[in-house]
Amino acid sequence: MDGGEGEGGEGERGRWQDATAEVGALCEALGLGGMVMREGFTLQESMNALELMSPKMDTGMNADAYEDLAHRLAKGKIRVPVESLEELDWVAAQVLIRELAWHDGHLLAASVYACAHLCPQTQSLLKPFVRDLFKRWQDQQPDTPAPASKSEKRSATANTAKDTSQPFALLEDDTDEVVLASVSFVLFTSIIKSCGVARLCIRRGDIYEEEDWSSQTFGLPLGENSDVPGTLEMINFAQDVLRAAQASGRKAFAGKCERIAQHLLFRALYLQALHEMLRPNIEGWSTAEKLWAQMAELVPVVGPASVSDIEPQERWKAAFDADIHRKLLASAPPRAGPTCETAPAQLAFANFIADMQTACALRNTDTLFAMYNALMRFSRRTPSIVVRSLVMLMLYCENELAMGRIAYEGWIMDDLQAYGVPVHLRETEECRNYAKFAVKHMYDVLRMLLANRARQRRNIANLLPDWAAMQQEAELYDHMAFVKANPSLPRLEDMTREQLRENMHFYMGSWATEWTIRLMLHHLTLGFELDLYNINEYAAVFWYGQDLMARFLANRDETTKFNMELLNRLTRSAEDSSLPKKAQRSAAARCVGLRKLIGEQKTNIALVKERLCVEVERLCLDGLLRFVIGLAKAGRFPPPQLEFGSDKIRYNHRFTPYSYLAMPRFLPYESFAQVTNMENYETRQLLENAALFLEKARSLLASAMKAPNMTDVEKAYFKALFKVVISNNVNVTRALESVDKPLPEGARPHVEAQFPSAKDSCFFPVIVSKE
Amino acid sequence: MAAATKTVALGPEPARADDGPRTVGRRGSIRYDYFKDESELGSIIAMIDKDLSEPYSIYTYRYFIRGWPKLCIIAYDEDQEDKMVGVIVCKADHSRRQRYRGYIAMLAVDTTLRRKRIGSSLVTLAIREMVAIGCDEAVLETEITNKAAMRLYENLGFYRDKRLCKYYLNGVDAFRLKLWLKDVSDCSDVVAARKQQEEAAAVLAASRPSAGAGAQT
Repeated sequence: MDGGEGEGGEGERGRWQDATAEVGALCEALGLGGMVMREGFTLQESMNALELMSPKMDTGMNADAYEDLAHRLAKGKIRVPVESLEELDWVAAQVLIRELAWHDGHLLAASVYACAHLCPQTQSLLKPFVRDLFKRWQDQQPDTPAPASKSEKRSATANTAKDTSQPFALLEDDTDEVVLASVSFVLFTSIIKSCGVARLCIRRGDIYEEEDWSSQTFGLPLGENSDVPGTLEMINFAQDVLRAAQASGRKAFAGKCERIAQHLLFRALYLQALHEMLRPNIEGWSTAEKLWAQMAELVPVVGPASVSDIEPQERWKAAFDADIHRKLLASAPPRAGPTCETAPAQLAFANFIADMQTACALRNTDTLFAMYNALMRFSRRTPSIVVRSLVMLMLYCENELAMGRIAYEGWIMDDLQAYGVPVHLRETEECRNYAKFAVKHMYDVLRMLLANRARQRRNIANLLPDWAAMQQEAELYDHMAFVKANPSLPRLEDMTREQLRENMHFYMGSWATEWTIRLMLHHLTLGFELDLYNINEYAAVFWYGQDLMARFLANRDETTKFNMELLNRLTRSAEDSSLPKKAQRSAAARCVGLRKLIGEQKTNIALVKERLCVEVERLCLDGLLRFVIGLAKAGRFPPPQLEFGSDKIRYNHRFTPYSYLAMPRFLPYESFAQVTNMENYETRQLLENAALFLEKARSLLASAMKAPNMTDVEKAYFKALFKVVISNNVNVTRALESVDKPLPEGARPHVEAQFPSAKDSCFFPVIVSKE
Repeated sequence: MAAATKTVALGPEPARADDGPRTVGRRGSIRYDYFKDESELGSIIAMIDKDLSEPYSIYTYRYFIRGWPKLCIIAYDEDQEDKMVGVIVCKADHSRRQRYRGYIAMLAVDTTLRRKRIGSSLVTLAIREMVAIGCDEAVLETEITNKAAMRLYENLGFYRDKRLCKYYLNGVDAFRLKLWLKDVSDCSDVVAARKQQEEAAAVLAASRPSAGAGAQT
């Protein structure tokens, strides 16, 4: 139909044209299986096509069985307003379950708005009940004075004549129905408004992917940030009404007012907290932190599990149905709705509040490396998109400062210092320029940690080429900074190799290499967590992993060693009376700075802990590598027989993301093949060495767990890794006992990887040999 | 481990000399044919529709089958009067990165004839076609809970390339499985990029003045 001739012609975008004649003519010419289609008809278009009346695709198919909300209300299947506070309590808890499901990526129409009470038609039925009562309450509230000028303050007259000394009281005309309707209206309105503010947080954070969260509202209303003060006022109104109802001694309100008041309090705190967190430059985060702490106390009281003692009536349950919005959802293929089980929802709710508290605490993080570690730990909790979005806003405030106070450049300079770059190099313009260059890349690393776990792995693969560029730039800046900081030395091109080795170190390059290896190790270990590795590639993964860890340690050791040697040379220069006084003084000044730097490094707890962790994990991988090769050599690990591809092809593709980097150099398949060639080893020797490495790992872990300054999270991780190491050691011992015995007739040996410590975020496998 | 994985030709045997031009392989009583025409489409849809969790329109089937008829292979049981007992539907085109990628869209086998290697035979034949037309890799998605499918593909050399969160409409994650058919340096996008670099270098070299020109003047 593109380029069609005749009456229709080629249509303009957005203009309907009748193509009946053209299509008819084309169809006449069709053979069996022919299709009239637009040029460039793609898979996406074919997948988006709906077959009308197909129950799998046409959401409106079973129209006869469908009753919209108006019908259900007219037939009394859903009662508005709720009949009791007990029902309201139950409904509020159910809505909370669905709200959490919405955070988890379910459609708004199928989750939050699956509650008929929240729908606009139902809410509008409540308004007549609420209007007068709310007006009467408002009239009784003290006027909120406008900000007064000085002259107005001086000549302040008495307040208006409103009587605010008495608590709000109900009148006889305020029936139980009016009270229930008012409180319900406010509670449901506050839920809608808080979803709106949550949506704003997610959109502003702008880190969500399609699997994280659905932005489609299908026209259903949500609140805005500007609605928050008005909604808080309404919550105050509802709380006053409840107090008045209780004070009036009405039977309908005996015993349950307190619970509804707590629901209202939760919504007020939640709205306020999100509102505060959206203020520019995280000005409101310390207030928000206190609010989340208050909400944490309400978790057992307003959470889904709090209504487990209530037996809901059928009419209450009838108000929850995702099918209410079938007409709205008809344009999309039918999706599975949320499962809405109480126990997981209660846990999700508690975790949500806890994650928000953790997020607030992140703003006090001082160093870049500490923020990286904190976000790594935070990410393992798989926080909801709302929390992650707010953390993103914290990391990049409106004034482009992290947490509204730290320039990324300064953070990077501090990190260079912590790494061991001496002050005389850090003071150069080249070092500062490099830090500026590194800002975007470092920001991307932190942003990557706020993606979901599966996306993080993909994002790292996209970041690594950028870090290859970081390394190249670093070498250039190292060169320039060194020349500037050492004008008395010959030019680098004129230096001998010994002079170079003695005087020049690629500080910024080494720093970039350290961060690169951190990313690569995270990429590698995410593969275990996401269960991506085939058992046949474990040897390659273990081998690459332990090599990366070895290079990480060597990279840092080289810088430390260079600094020590530099300190010795500078000390000699400072004491060398044959040198000019100026040179001696300069050397002495550099000595002071370098001594301080080396001291700081030794006492930098975060770096020391990281080193310990890498050492332990490296020993673990070394042991596991020997274990799997030993099992293969013993015939417990038969190689698969494959028609397509080869080990080399699979290896190269698997580790392609690492091939962009200069440092660490890519490990080619040939090196792996040579090192792991089974013909070089005896089975028993391999297994015994495996046991040795695992024992070293066990011993180091045992001391690490007793070390001071370990946080609870770190101890838990080491404990989990300890269990993995012990289990592997036991399996190695078993393998050693059976290695010389022939396999039973008909046995089909194979090897499995199990992850018993996954819940403690330890994704090192336990290798199990089975027959 | 080094040189541990053996590369052997498994899977169905090639067509016999007296087989028709559509037959691409055999295994026991099962004959494997290319897609013929629209008359088979109804049976293909019926077979696939039963097993799939995701809804596909007829346009989706036509998109694949009409676009790549030789990548739609059907299994017929000659012992059951040529009953259709399995089908695989694939395509081959360039990814965003310009890698030539074979994609396995659908695979279905008659439930009464499972575990008779019909599925693995269909996949093997489809991959052989992909290799023949120069594909760099073969790809598919499967639910992480579909252990049988993962076993089938991993036994053919597929690896789990990516995990896709909540990929399916039922909220289940998926693995993107990939079978790498060529080494990285031989893949279309890498070869094309290398060729581009070589051409650019040649243009640069040709535009430089020759070394002797200055001496001559």
